[in-house]
Amino acid sequence: MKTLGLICLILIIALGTVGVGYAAFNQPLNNTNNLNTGYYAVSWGTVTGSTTSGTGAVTIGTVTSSNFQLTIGGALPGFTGTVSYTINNTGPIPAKVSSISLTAGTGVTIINGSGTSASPWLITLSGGTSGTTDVQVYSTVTTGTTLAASTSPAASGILVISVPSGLAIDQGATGTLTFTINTQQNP
Amino acid sequence: MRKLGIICVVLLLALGCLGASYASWTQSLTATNASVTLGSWIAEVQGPCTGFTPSAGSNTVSASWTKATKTGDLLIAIFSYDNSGDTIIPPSGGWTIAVSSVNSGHATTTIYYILNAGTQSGSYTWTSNNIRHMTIVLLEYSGVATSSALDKTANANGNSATVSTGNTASTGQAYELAIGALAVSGNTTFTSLSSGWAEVGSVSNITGYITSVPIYKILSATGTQNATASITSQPWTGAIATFK
Repeated sequence: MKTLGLICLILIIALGTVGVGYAAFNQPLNNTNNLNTGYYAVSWGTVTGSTTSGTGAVTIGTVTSSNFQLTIGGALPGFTGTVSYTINNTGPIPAKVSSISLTAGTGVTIINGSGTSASPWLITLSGGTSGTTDVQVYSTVTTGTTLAASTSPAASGILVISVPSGLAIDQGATGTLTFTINTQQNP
Repeated sequence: MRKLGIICVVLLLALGCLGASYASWTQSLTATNASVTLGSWIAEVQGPCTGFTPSAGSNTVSASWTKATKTGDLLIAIFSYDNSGDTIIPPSGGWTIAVSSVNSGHATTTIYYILNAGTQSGSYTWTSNNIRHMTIVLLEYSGVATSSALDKTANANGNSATVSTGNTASTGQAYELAIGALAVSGNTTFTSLSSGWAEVGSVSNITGYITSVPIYKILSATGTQNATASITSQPWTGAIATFK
């Protein structure tokens, strides 16, 4: 075993010497290309709010890459407001919308619905009559929407918020919601 | 076996790192704590609270609220009598004339209002300087602006089988309350009221010298406003007022 170890050591030294010699006989080549690692950069683009019918105010507050502030005030029966938004994908990785959700915050109960125009989320607000729909919400962007890499905007959509006419009176009812669009790499 | 174990651990760590990298390629875009608040909208709270003079007539007519009115509401009184030109004194409390309509010698109807009213209860009396046949109707509405709410008014009168409030100019905003008053110097049934209008109730004095019909409509779009109804042909008068 001792002899074998000695042989291995000699071979390593010999191969190292050959390597050094080979390197010495070669011209160094400089590669000037950049090699970037992948990064994921999906974000909100522009976000604007407006009242399309009825009485009520849609206000968009601070918009960051991942969040925006939305306030709807003084909405009366027959009100429809919209939040028009774009989604940017400034990174090299193609993405898609993996899911869309609406979660109840303070004073809100989400009755049912899937968030599409055919099946809007139906919501009651604090102070309202239990089980009576006060607000309907849906998104025109749906799960599966693709967000091509390095594209701004990669998608655009509208969040529609409406107060149906002829409701039981829930005057002054209020509550908070969180609207979320989850994205992931595509595929 | 020990070396194999070490290799497996290294492979697992490598795969874990790859998984972590993949998992990080997601992003949630949110509107957190989006606030939604409904406004106060127009609704009838109570009415009609009615009163009328006896068959012999009187120089006063009174009506009582069914329940105490709420602070901030719009109070309406529709006063009618079977003549014209009298001096009418409303009760205290800030009653203001929105619009009056006169069919000379036959009938007069007037829409009074109080914006942003304090609470009221009990009986309220209108007084004329003559003995007349009179009716009074009290109404309460919530959700109307508490200042500068009176928007448009109109009146009309005639002697025919169709009674009208007259045509207002185009209303200043979509969401308003329109109050109408129709009256005839007789006792008749009002039919075929214009679409969208609601008859609050009809009130007539006992002998039928004056019949008054208060009506209202919650508007959802700007435009001129008018209501008509069918009656047996006779002298009539009508008035309309819209409130923001």
